[in-house]
Amino acid sequence: MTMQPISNISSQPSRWLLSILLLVILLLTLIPSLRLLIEALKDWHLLGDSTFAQVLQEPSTWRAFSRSLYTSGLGTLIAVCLGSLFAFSVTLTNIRAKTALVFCFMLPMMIPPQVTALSWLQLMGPGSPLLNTLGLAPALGSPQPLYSAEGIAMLLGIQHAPLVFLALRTSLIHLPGDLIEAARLSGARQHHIWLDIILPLTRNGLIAGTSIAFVSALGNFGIPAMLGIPASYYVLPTLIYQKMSGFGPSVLPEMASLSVLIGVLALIGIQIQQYAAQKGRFRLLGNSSKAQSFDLKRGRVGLEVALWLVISLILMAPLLALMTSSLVPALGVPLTWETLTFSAYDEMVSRQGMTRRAFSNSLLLSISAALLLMVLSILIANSLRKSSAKISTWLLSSIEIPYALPGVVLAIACILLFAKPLPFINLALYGTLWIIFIAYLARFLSVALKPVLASINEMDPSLEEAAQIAGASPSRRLIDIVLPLIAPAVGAGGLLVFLTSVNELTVSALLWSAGRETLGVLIFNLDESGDSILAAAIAVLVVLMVFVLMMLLSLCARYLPKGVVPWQS
Amino acid sequence: MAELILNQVSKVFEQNPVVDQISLNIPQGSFVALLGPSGCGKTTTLRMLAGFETLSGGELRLGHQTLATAKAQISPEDRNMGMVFQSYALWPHMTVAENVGYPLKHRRIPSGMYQKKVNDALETVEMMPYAQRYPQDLSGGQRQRVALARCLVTDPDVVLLDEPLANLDRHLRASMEESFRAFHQRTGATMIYVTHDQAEAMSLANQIAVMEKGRLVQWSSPEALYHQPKTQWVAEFIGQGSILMGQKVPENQTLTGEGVNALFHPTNERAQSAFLVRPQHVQIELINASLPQSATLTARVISQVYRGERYEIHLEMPNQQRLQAFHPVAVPIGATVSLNLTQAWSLAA
Ligand SMILES: Nc1ncnc2c1ncn2[C@@H]1O[C@H](COP(=O)(O)OP(=O)(O)OP(=O)(O)O)[C@@H](O)[C@H]1O
Ligand SMILES: [Mg+2]
Repeated sequence: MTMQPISNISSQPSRWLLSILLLVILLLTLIPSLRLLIEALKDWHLLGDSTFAQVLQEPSTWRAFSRSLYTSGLGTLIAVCLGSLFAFSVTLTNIRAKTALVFCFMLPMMIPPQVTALSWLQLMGPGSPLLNTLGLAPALGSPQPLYSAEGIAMLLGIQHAPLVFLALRTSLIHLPGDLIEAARLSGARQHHIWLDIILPLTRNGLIAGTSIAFVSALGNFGIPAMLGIPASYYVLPTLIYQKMSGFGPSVLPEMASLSVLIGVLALIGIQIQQYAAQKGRFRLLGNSSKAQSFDLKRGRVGLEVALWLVISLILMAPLLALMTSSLVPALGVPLTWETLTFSAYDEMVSRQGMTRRAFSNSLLLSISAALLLMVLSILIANSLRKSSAKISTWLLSSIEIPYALPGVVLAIACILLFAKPLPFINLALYGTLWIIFIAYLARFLSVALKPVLASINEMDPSLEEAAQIAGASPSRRLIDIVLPLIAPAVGAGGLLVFLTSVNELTVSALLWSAGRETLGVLIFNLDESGDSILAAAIAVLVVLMVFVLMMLLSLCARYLPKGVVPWQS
Repeated sequence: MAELILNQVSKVFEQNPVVDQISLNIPQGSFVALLGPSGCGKTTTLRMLAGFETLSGGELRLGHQTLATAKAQISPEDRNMGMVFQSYALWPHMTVAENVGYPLKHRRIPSGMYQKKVNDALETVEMMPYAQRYPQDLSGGQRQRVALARCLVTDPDVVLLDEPLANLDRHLRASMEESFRAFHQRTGATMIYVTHDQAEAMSLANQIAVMEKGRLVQWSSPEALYHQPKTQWVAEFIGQGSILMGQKVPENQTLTGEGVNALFHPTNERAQSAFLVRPQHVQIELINASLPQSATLTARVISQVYRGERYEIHLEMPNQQRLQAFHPVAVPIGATVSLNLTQAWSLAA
């Protein structure tokens, strides 16, 4: 037995480990954003002639800005309508098959945006194999209705409705059932209960969901790229992409300025959400264990039919169209037994190079990012739990930044950081997979960390103290006690990272280089070059993979803290 | 094994002194209860003993070995103590046997001894048949016993228990109290037991430390605590009883016999001492109003509560002082009774 100075007793995380973690987080999260800011503002002394001022004076900037606002605003409206319809129906009524309903409703969020866009393009328009098969296709030469601002907004709405749903459902689940029962006993009718009790108490969830949906729509690249670029309708992220691919690194300062602009927009959205979350945070007293459910009586079947109709419109129909497209020889050909062909799949498998490379690049990137982030999040969560409240709030908010900022912004920041070989070690990352890998680490750290933090905070601290008094050293405690208990959450976090990064497009669209394309980039490029059939075939596989992984997550939902698997209640 | 010494131990949380200069000498093998109302710093004291909290001041020693000072301390894993947590803290991913055996893995134990020690520990708490179960599949009392087995498997010098019975029902409590007592007798380990339940403290401990707002107010045997409380606060906190003002006498004395009644005589103007009068020391008798009364103490019945074996009677004396008495049968509310006080304890001012 030896006395140790209080400053390094073993219940505190060891100093050097904490410092290394801090350094890693700093490098991943704050440095890119700072670099971007410096680039945008470095010639500020030129005032009106500085890059930033010039970017602000260009009409194309403001056109894209207002288009961004319009499409994301309209999209958010659609998302709020869809999301609240499902949230209220699922949490407050006695409809059946809730889990299946929620699973289907969440699927669009997990499917990469460019695949969503692709499947909708396959659904509508004169070339649609599905409409052709059904004989409903509009006349050849008529315009694709989705190549429009409203088309973009609609898909943004569908893609992000699950975010509104999640935020709203969280506040609805915590709505104590006896508050509603008390209102009923006081004689309130159904519509009064809605107006007087439910809406005011879920207001915060609604505001939070709305701003998350808005920020995500603002940063979305896949949908406006697939639907807007063919019609020369540019929003901020696609404007950046278009200029970058057109002019290359020479326009970097200009791109940095645009990125700062969109980043500021996103941060305003997040601020509004946090303000709403803090203001009027009621302490809900009451018994919330029992889920509230209105007995809809005869209206139940009607609501169920309506909800499944929405699901088939926003999910089934486009996926069916996507599948049909992948099975016909050429666009415009109806699917019959004669025309049915697997040639697209054959080509995908046999075509050397591209496809296989994209698959292996994406798998390599996402699996290694998931694994590394799992390890990182265990270490971070374990030391955060023991460090002071100040450090942990600071760290947590800095981890959120790269995830909240639009992907394009992070991509530009990474280009800026790594365009030149790294100083001292003279290592060039630009043009390699490493740059994408680092961007993924920064972007998805918060995805991996959140479930682990939730789980470790849920853990009774006395479990670890009991091990400590039993004589276990800090590392043994981590391995013997903490790890087994948080393992499901770590796995879930890793799976979520894998799921989101394997078809990621926004970041890789700007960071890829020949031979380093990712799955997301491949689908996007194939569609751009008119090879929609092949793109559809790959997209079908991607959806299948997402589906299988989501099922896998559902299976281990039982072992996870509540709320880690979003579609499980 | 040796005496456990707390010397002016203090803990300050954000400028609030939560534990304030507590000094105790706990002889080896004693069973000590830390008793006090909620928030008085019991858990904090216990966690300082275990090493989970650092000391803000003072010193902690086990015999000649210093365990902790404000500047340095031995970490919990090196203290050879055992602890039963209020939440039991059983590891859900380990079986009962694995839970109990875990502390042995961190001691140098001959490999053959491991199984024997685990079995012995499980045997003592009669949990052998459940060795392969997981904690989730046990009842509250069984979990409690596993936690106890886990802390005794390494023969700790000191066993710390934080309100281990707080969430058990009354019958289970009684049987668990019994197993603590048996465990203490068999192992001879020093046991420190935190509770806010005075009955539990009285029935288990041979020494009780009463804490109030972070300070130690009394350190004595259960009997002394009950009969000779040091302050009015302790007198009101421990057991039932009434505080009466009476004629001035020396502090801290037990008064018995005929003279007790005279101390509280209504004509006694200069009442200056506070006395503790336990209800079992108050005899009452209904007064027949028609009969002329001799000048004894009287009181009016305000209310009564039925307690099964007897009635608890609440009385008010003519000079508005209130007191409690026990009586085998009910008395009418509002009736006047004559009082006979057989014993009183004079409190320190
Ligand atoms: N980590 C902490 N930071 C700040 N204050 C604390 C902390 N832990 C305890 N306290 C405060 O110290 C005081 C004593 O707490 P402690 O847990 O020791 O009380 P207790 O006597 O065990 O009460 P109970 O019977 O309710 O368990 C309380 O006022 C509590 O709020
Ligand atoms: Mg306590």
